[in-house]
Amino acid sequence: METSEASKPEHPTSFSKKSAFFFRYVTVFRFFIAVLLPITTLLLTGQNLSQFNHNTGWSYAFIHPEHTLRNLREGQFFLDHYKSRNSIKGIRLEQFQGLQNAYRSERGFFHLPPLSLVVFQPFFLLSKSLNYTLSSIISGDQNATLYSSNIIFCIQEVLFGILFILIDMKVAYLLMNLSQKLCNLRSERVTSSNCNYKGDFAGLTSIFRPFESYEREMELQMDCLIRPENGYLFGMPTLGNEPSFAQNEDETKSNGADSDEKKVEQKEYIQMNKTEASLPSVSITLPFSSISTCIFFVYYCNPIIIASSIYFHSFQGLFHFVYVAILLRAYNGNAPLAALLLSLWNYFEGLYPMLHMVSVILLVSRRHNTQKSAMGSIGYFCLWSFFLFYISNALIKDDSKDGAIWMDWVHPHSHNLGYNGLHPSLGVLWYFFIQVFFRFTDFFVILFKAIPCVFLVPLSLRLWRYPLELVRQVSYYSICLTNWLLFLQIDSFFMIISLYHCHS
Amino acid sequence: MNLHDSVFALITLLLSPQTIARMDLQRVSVALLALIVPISLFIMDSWLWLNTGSGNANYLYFQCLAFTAFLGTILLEFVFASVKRDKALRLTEKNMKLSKYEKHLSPNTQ
Repeated sequence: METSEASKPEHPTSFSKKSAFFFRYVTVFRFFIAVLLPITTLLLTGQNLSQFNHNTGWSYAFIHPEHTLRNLREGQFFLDHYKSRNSIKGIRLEQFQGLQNAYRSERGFFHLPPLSLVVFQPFFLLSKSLNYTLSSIISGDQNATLYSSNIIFCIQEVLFGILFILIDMKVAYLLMNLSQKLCNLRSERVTSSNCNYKGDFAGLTSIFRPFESYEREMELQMDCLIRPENGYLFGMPTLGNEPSFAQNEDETKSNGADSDEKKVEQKEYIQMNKTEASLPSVSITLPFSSISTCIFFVYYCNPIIIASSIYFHSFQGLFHFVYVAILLRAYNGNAPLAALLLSLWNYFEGLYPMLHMVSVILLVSRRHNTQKSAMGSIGYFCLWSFFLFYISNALIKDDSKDGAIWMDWVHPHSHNLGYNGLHPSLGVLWYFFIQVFFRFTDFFVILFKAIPCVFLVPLSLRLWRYPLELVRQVSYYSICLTNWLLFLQIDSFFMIISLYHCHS
Repeated sequence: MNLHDSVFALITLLLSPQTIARMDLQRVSVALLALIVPISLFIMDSWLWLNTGSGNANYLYFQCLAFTAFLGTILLEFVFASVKRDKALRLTEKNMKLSKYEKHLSPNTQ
């Protein structure tokens, strides 16, 4: 039976020989493309890749146009420009003040938060130093530079391509790790400290056990009428197994004639279903040895993700990494780290990720089973968020201009929060804001942003025992009322549902 | 909304196999395959609108609408399957509780 195979302990890094070979092959292929594609484009056309793929239908469909290397270069331009003008002062903090014009102007030039440049600053510096090194090798003069922006851009594209491959690899690994936890494919020592789930039947056995094993046990006892038809694909018990009422034959002996008639009907039904549906339960397996390996390869070898990372140089994989890491940390009960990652995501994406704080609190509190952990999660989140916004404000602070303090905090995020300058995408809000009259824009922005928050409070009060229903409702509103973040909300929705099943 | 995020969303579906097993796989397969049509037309229409100038924003909008509808189908199917999974588990728990309760009462009645 596949159930026994699926429940075998498996180390997250252990692949079968075929899978390991496939992983190496794809990794080499990805590195090969990441290095050769920018160089070949430069040699053949004299241009860099971003000149080809910018502002095309492909880029609008595949990626968020602002989460790209090209957009980071624009921010870097402001930074470099100010650096050269104020190099005499030598004060490090003031070097970043060139960015203030990017946010302070009426339309704004740079639409990512300032810390995004700080995150990627080492790679820009590395590309510059590589440019100097290459020029010194070619010309023999140590002070020479190639003076070609295309060459620097090519170096950046190669470096970022390699970085994004590593990020994708990490995301795939974390997904596999999370899957193994959820599907109970990985053996874990269950103690009262690392798992406090106590199901309804835990009182009978007097032990603590994870929800995965509990649900698997329940599936074995499940009535054949409510078992999933396609369960055999995932190693679940199918109609071929004996259902609960057939197993508990002895228990129903004392129920008289009614139960006997019922039993006869049920047996007839079982026999009927056995003849119809016992064939699939033989051995049909997924293409890979386990679901977690399948998830790893579906993500890592996905052509869309490869194209986004290597061809379009989109750093959305970084948000996926943060997102999966939040859920993994919250699942493990690590509130400080989960709150830090959530605050980072909230800083970069603005407002909507904050709604998932409720889910993080539920996950952490279920793990630790204390209210302190919930309050601790909120406290850590507020602390980290304040810290991030304070640093961000310090980087772009402009003392020469008057204005409300909160405006300095909001300016870097105004583009994201206010649905400004939307590009065409596969969502529908860009079209809505084209059609709406300008005088109503603020009203709809506030409406779209506030509705999920307004619904969150009563739903949290009513459904605090049922995180599935709570998250579903909140996610529905978020899905309907966001633009770029639309699918990140759907991701969260799917993931939280999965986690709910493992904790509730 | 973009393909990179949507692919990630669909991959995360695999994290809950018990739910996928309860989904109507035929409907989901049709919706998944149908996604190719609005995506390809979106790319072509954006070229028509922004490069050649022979199209307009409405072309893109209807592709976005179709894309959202197909993806919404998968989402709703997943929601229904999640509810089914939860309901099945609760029913089993209830059934088990009842059988234990009857077992507990049976010696007294006899």
